[in-house]
Amino acid sequence: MFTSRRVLTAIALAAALTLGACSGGSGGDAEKQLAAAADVLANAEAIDFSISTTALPSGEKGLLSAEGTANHSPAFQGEVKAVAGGITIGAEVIATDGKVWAKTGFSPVFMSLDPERLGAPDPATLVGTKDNPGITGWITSTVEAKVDGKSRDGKDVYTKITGTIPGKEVAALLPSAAADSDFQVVYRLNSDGELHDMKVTGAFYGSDVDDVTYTLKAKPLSDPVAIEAP
Amino acid sequence: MTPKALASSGLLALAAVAIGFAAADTYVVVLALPDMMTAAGLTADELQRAAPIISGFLLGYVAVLPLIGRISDLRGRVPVLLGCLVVFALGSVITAAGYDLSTIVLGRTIQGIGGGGLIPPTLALIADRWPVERRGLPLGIVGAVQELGSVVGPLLGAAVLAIGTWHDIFWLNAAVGVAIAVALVRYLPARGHRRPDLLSIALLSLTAVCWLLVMVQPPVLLEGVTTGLAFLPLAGWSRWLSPLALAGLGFLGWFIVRQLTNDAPLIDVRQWRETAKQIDLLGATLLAVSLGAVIVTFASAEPEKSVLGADSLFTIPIALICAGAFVWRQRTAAEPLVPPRSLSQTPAWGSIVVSFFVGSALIAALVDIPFFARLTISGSSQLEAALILIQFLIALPIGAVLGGWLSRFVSTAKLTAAAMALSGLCFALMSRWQQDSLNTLSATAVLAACGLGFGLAIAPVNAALLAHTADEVHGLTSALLVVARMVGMLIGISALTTIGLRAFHNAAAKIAPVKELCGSKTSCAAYATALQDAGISQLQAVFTGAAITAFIAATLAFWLLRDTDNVKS
Repeated sequence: MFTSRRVLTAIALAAALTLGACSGGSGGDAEKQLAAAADVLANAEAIDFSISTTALPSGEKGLLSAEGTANHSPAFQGEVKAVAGGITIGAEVIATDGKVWAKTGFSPVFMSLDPERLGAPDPATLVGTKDNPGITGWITSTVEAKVDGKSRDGKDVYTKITGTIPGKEVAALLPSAAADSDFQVVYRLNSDGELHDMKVTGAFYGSDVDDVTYTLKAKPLSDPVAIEAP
Repeated sequence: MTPKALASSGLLALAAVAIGFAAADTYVVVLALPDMMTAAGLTADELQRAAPIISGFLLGYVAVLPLIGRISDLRGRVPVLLGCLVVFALGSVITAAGYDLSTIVLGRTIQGIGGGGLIPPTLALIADRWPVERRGLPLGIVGAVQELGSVVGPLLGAAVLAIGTWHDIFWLNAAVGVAIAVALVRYLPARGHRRPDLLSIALLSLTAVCWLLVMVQPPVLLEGVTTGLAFLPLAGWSRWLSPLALAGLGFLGWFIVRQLTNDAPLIDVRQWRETAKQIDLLGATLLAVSLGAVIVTFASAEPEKSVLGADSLFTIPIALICAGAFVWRQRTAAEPLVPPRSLSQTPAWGSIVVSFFVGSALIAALVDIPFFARLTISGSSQLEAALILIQFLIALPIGAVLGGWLSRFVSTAKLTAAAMALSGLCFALMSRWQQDSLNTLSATAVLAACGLGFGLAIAPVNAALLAHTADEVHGLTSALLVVARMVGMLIGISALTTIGLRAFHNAAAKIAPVKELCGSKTSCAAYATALQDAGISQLQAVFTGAAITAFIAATLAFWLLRDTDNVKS
């Protein structure tokens, strides 16, 4: 019976640890942790950035995913997938100086385009500048933040913080979002207090369309990244 | 109706509904394909990579059909129908839970195996339970339900997509498959009074739950500090090396051991081993690989543009080598896949040859009528073009039932020949269609009459085969008939496309240069019209080819099916 007792001890120990982690969180503490995580991003030379969702509401056009590197110029360079007319269009995108260029599978060269017409944001604005923050602004404006236990992603376990982002903050970056509605957010921070990812759920395509959940990841890079117009 | 006749009708109704549903599934993805591509991470310019979502279903549908037909001859019709429904449901679940292109294509292929496998045992079932002179109508009805599936499929897909996602289409498929399977259980041959082994059922369910969780990865469990560990690969990166996936494998292993050792197993392995001994598995494999290579060669091509798929350099030799090896195996094996002399009567092999040509002509209608509509109706979308095809498709099931009824009064050879001559005549009329032809009422009549002809031919061709083959090979020979029709479709569209493309290039070569037609270097309306006319001459050539193919089918039917008068005295 030695083994079963050892298992029981292990479970009891694990439970105690988990409970201990949960009881540590109060509202003010969560907001402090978020502010610290936002600060790391705002001061990073460059960011490994991604935003994605599994599917858009039927018939909507918009952003499916964007993945690449960014800096606070603001500029972005990477792969973007957008949905229009029910089909997915993939493109290499460079965004800098308020302009966006894309190279789709159909075309051999980069072409300038107006992201608003595709219903997608200029990806560079999501990253923002130091004075005019992009998604770091979402993090700092989060209300009702509270630590909500732990969450696993693969091998690692992260601290989970839930909260609400006011719609006007979201709409400032994504014009199609409903400014008068709240967006639910779940942050996951690593043991160093850095942002691992954030899941934002809400009326990204207006209040009369089903909610969409976007998962955003932003990882600070230590070396600067140069992004230039093609 | 006697109780026995009532039971036969009930069984046939269930089988027919299942076939109709499986047929709908061939077309259901047409609307869902863009969403499925998104889910598989494919973009619009990667359409070619998405082709296996459709050709995978065809591959399963055709490649193992002869094997399933043979099994139904040895093991009985109902167990095979039930098995196919379970396989269809399994394929639907895998597709619905699919998380990348490979899993979706795998699910579609398994769906195809189950869906295609329903047809041979159902046709054989009719032969088992209805006397020769009364088979026409049930054969016609089954044919009608199958063709109706092609009309209902896209509509059903649209209805589900209006309220749900593409996943729901396949969850619905799985539910319907299971429901029909459950309804079929009471028709199984009695197995005594033993209750099914509950532990076997539990083990199988546990395997399913584990593997479904591995595929779907519900965030609630995945992100749990403890539960998430179950999803973490023990080695490497594949989710199939996670504890949960391995647990599923363990349950499956236990299930298999249980089947081998228990007195009343869920699947009687010993009996299956006996069946396997009676089947030429090597021959079945060679035929399956050969047919599979044919499907991949022809189905992955875009029929409007090119003739063969990109990998045809490899697949054509594979198809030929395996076909040769299969023929060799047929001659040397003690018990070959197709038992000797099972197709010795002229109408028996004749009906298979006729089916090939019927399939070749039919595909021209299915592909090139919408193509013609897109070309000539200005600003027309895929949907409007599809609606033109409905005028053709809706007449098919009507013709099928009518043909079944008529086959009691008219000889098989004459009915089939007349039906295909009607379709051939309609194709001949279509080959003279011009720019504005689709707007006329007569076009609707031609389309409907063409569909009617194909429908009329379904029941008599099947009846001819069943009347001239032995009871114990009905499943296998029905399978060969379906395979011949499908292969006819694939090779037919390739041959017709070749003829069409040559006509297009000939017509396009005669167009004056842009500069001459338009007076400047930029394109103009006159040039666009000239190109459109070239496109029309391409389709005219295809329709001429289809007319000739239909007339060949009519002539062959008249000669080969001749002594098959159903009203034998």
